[in-house]
Amino acid sequence: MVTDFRALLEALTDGQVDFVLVGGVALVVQGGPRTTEDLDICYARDDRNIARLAAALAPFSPRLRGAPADLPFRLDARTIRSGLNFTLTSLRGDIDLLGEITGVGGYAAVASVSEILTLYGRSIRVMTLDGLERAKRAAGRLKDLADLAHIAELRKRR
Amino acid sequence: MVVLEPSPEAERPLAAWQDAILASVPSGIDTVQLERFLRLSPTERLEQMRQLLLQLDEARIERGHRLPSAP
Repeated sequence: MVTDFRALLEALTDGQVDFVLVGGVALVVQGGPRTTEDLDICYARDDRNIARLAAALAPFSPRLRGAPADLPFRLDARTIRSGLNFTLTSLRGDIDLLGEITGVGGYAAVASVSEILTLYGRSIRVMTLDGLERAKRAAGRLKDLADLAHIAELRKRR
Repeated sequence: MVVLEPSPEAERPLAAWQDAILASVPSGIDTVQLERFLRLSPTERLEQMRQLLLQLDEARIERGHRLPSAP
């Protein structure tokens, strides 16, 4: 299924979750014409936000992506506190919850390289080109090279 | 005793190899498409990408998740 970005973003913002949109979707939002199938967010790790995050996603029955369907898993506040990064699928598509971004840091550092943009009528923190460049350089995969080329072209037009 | 100082390149190894590749290989970016994409709002960009994914998904289902056979 194709991820319903709108539904997931609305649930997160309506649930007052502190998060920054990162990864491929952030690059698309910033103007990079590429595709990605999942929504990546970096979330704040304080207890209140973790509880909000778990509650916001609960209606979508999130479970571990790629894991056997019968594997017991419940994304509640305790689970999120016990881990850091979660690769999930849900009734509304795929979403990755990241407590840290390699090359940038935790939520506070990621928020410092973000800007508020309007998406689906809501104000959402989105990683800037500077932040995306740092993350892409640190990740160092082949697809990140292509993204770095896009970031360089986008910079020329700003 | 000779003390070796790290070169600027050694301090930024990731940037060095990535920049070297980016500088020597054409990006192949379609700048016309890029300009067109930049004229859209952030929401429109995301929705356009999603529509493309939906079309690809439909094509995959129609073809039984197999690549089209050669003519």
